[in-house]
Amino acid sequence: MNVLLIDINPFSPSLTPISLGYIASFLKSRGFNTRILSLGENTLISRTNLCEIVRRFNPALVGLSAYQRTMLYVNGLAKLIKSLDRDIKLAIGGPQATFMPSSAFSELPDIDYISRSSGEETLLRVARAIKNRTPFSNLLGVSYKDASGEVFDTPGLDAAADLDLYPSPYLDDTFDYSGMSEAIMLTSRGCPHDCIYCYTPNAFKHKVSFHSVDRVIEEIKWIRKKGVKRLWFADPNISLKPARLMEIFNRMLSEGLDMQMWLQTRADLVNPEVMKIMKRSGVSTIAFGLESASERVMAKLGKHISVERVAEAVKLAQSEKIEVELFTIFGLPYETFEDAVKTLEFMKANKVKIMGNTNSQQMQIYFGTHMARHYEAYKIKPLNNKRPAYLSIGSNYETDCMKYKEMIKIQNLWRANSIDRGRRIVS
Amino acid sequence: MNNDFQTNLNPVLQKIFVVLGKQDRKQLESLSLTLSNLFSHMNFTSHLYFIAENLSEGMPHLEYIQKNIMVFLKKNLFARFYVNLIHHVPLETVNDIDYNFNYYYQPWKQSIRTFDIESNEHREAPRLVLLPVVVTDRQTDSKLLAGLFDRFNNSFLLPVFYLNTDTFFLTEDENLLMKAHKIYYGHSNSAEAAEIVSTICSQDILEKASPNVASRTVLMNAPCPAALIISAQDGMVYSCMDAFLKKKSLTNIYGEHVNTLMAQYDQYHKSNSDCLGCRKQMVEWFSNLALPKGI
Repeated sequence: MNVLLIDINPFSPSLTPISLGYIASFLKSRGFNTRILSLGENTLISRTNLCEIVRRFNPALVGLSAYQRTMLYVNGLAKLIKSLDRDIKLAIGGPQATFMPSSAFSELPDIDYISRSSGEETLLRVARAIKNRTPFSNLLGVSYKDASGEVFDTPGLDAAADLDLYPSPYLDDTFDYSGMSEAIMLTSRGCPHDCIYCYTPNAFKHKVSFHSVDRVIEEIKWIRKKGVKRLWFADPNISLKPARLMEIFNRMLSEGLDMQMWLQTRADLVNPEVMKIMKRSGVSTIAFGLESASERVMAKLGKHISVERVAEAVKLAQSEKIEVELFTIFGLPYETFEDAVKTLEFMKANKVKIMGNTNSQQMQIYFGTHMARHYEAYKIKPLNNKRPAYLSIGSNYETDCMKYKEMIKIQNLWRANSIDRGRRIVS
Repeated sequence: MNNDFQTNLNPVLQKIFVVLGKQDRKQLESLSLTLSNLFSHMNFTSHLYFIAENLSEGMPHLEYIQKNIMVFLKKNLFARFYVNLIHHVPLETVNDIDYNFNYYYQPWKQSIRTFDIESNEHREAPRLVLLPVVVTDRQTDSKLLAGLFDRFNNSFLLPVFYLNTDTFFLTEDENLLMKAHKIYYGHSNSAEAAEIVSTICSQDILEKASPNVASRTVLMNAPCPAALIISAQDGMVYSCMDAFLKKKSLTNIYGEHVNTLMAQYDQYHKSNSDCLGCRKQMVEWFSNLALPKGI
């Protein structure tokens, strides 16, 4: 049985779809012929060709990555695929799907399943059910709409605690290396913290799972052998276990794995020793989450980190000549326009280049976040209550402390100070 | 990804240029139908360029064609089109700004309101973006042009201007530059369709090659952006800038089915896979460019 996984984002270049890669490798290891189609702004694809691909590959199941900003496009692809063959089952998964209300099915007429739990585990069950011609039996971790249109929610499903149980999309050549200039790696999943605006802690139930150091090194060796010399670590906090990270970098150094690397972590998870080995190993850029340079605002975010601590981490990285990126957001609860300006000023005072990921963006209120559940308590006022049920509030709100016009004003101020006119890479 | 299922697919058009002329109603209908059938062969995100001699003749034709663009986009929610109207605007007084804006541009923008609503609902860039590309001439007053661009920006139309050697002086007006979404640099004082197509295609090739220059890899290792150029007046179709400039037409849209057209287009590019014509044109365009101060 064939499974097609599609990632569409017309707003940024096609990146290695690491999460789909894991699902594809896992399904392949369980006997399903699985392929990935990654459609970025630079991908050449027409309607005619997409139809041809679906006809040629003839998938029984198509999985679509869902994000707030791509839901319209996901809906469009689902409609096209279903129009080609009503028997193809369609599932959405990813950050937007995990906590999407089941009522969204009414506005997603071509979607059969919404994946709520680990993509590998839920899609395997869905694929097996389809293969057995009982597409809605023995499912876990999904909501589904049966043939009569009735919606059902199934109990959740835990992912493997040991990530090594999932095969590597790099080692089994799920990914095509021919056009790959940078490999995205995920050596751990989840986050134990409680930032009120973030989806990750709730999606992973505040647990963190890891790959072994051996597995990480094995992947890096293979990637290096394939000619890719840049790594992008997508782990939310790669130095959560500093000793593990040190071991990874020490192994890279001792085995001569010369790579250029980008990574992100919390500012309170670095120290001079870690930073030195990062530099020696080839880390060219490190990204920290600052969010706001106002201590008053920061204190309300559940992040439990001080602005001063972030400034120290920035200096530490700069002292090692590692480029620094700072993730920031405006429109936070209790943040005034003046507070938001302080964040911009922080960049200048700390000599952080305003470009790429350092370009600020308005807070997005995603499904599954503490903020989405309690937005009224934080004096957040949605501006459009008529949005489709598959969309969360997103950035369509104002607060008691910052009106919509001020949000636009601060956004323009950031753009005016930006080297690249505000183009972010990570969203 | 293992991409064997993506091999030997049909060509994908990234841009279509339509040189509008004095075509009659029947020709317009035929042109519109041909374009509608071509949309399925276009990239999910594509550019359409309509070159009009003047606004009064060009806008009604564009509006007629645009109805089919909207039909396609409504049916295909994964597609995004940028519609560029390249034209000259007579601006002699402030009243001309009001007249042109109220009579032409505002109704044009209002005609796509449904896509603006969709965009607002999804808090994302609209799937149908309109770009008025103003071709300047020696008489162009930068203050009046800036005034018109303000009206465009306030209405979410993305202003673009097309400079030629006679109008490079406009780049000295930083206020005007700040208001423009994009600037095209022609390399002669002509505003003929051939010159405009040559400039836009050349600039596009150069922009696509820029990251290679920055990373010090090969200047141009990718094929030229796939484009089709249609002369609406006589129906002739050209498969690239070089063919258009050399008047080597592929077929005629007023007598050929789109599937045949695309097959011919595919065949042409396969048999000319090592052609460097467009890149040569780009180099000539760039070497003749009188770059303005500060560029």
